[in-house]
Amino acid sequence: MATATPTRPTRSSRRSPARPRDAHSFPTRRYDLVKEFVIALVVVGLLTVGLAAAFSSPDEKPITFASWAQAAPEDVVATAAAELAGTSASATYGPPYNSAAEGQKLLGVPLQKWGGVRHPVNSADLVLGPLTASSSGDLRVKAALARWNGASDARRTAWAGAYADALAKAPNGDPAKVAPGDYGPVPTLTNGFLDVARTGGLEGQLTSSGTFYGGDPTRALLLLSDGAYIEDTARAQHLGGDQWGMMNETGAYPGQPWMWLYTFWYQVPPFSTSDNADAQVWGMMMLLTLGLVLLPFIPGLRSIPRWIPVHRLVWRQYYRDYPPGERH
Amino acid sequence: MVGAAAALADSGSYLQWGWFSISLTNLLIIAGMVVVFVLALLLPFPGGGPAEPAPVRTRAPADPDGPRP
Amino acid sequence: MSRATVAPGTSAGHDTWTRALRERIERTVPPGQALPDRQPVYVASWIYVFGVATLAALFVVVVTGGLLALGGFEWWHVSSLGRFVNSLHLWSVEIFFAAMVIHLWGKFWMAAWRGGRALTWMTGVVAFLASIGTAFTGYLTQTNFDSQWISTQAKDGLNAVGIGAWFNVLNPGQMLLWHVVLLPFAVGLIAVLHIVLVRRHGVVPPIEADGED
Repeated sequence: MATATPTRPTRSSRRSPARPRDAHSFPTRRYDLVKEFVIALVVVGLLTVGLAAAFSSPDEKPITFASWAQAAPEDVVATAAAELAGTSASATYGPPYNSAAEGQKLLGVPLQKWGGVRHPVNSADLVLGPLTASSSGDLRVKAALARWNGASDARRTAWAGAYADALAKAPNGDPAKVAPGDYGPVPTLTNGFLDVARTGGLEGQLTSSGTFYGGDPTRALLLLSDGAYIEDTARAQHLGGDQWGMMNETGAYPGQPWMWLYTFWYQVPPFSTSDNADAQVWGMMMLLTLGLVLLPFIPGLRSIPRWIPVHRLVWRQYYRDYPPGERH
Repeated sequence: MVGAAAALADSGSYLQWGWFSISLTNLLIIAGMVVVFVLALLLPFPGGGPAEPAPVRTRAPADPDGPRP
Repeated sequence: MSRATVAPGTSAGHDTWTRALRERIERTVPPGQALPDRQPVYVASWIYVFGVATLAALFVVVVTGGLLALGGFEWWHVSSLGRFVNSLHLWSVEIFFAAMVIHLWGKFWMAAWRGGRALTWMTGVVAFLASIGTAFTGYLTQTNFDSQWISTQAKDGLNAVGIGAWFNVLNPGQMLLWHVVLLPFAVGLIAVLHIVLVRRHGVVPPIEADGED
């Protein structure tokens, strides 16, 4: 025997003396929910297998430090110089990596600062650590490290800053074509770092040095993203932030179309030109998301479905079979 | 099948109108979703047999929040 | 025990937590209302199947994710079977999101929050958000170029609002646990809540047929 209509009066129907009609007071038809679910499961399952068999899935190999050194050695050297000079993105980042900056603010509230420095990263150590660990056989690098370690902070910054500037002016950033200058041990250190990167051992130095299970590549990823190579590689695949990259995927694979609104804000002023864009876009999306959650309570927005009567299509059979006046 | 997978592994096609840019694949997926949505509104739904009037309630429906004072 | 003589159904019977919980559950979705085999006559459109389709896709997503877990998180780079299972997981996720968004469009145009159903709408939106978070952490744990680029890009937005201090997108181990334990649990819990609310209130009547106009 059929069960009763699957509904109960709602809060509003109990409060209102007029008792608006709700689901329980309408005539019913047979509707097999379990059969519907099973058919949906079979259809989705077959569709999934078909699409997976036809299109596979993207798996672009990760950039390794060896492949970076191979493809863009001048970028590795420039990045190493910037780490030593304290001018790289990670060196000037602020929380949660260091205290070099206050970080972004949302409506004047320093949320980034409040988060605290919970993943401390010393950018110069990203270069000096691996060099120190692997320089035992290279006397020139050992001497350069000793000279660096013996110098004052101001001296180090002057050497590395001058070398980073000179690299930027050299044709194609080529370290071999840098104008002469007082760079101290920095060129030896950055070239030594390039050699370490070429050996393929840099990932291990940065993630598992001192710990057998190197499960946290935070430092290696920060170093990689301080260079230009990863961004160049990503932009070639239309993954740049100002290329709506958040929606996109490597190759011609579907990306995350559901991120369209989040990535949209980065394309338009004032966000596209703001230094505070990350915090602003985040705040904007939280506000819009709250709007979507609370849509049933927002006058105007909640009435759109009445003004644009798409529901006439959904319920056309009901409106036809039960015209006003004959509804019971 | 292999050809289709190879086509997606190639660099994608991107469409650009001023500052607006979208990958052809994402555009096709979104367009496909809109088409499915419109079809869902327009295609007739197979009926579930004859309608029966609403069941007559012999007792007040259970009140989810208990009796009110 | 003298309490054993209290007749069932009397208010004195509420004095065990077990009974109070049982009655709360029974009141939430009374017998016969969880899986009814009849629906109001207005439930006659293909748009109604997308909620169930989303649920079916979620089921496939969880099963294919479980298969992927069998081999560990780098298995799919080195095994053609692993790669195929990864493809199943990706495409089921695409179907899941497509079905969920079409379901959301449909419910918006039906103004399905009417008649005390606002909480149903709100849990649905939260389920959508939790799903986006789950998909995001999936991208971060792929251990390929995608993860490198997406994590180094996404860190800035999360750091800018202080979340990055506790939710380190550059740490794939942490992200993997969010992806396979915490967020799927959250999505599943909200989905259950959403479905319970749908069954409790029934399908929203047509606009203008609900007596409120």
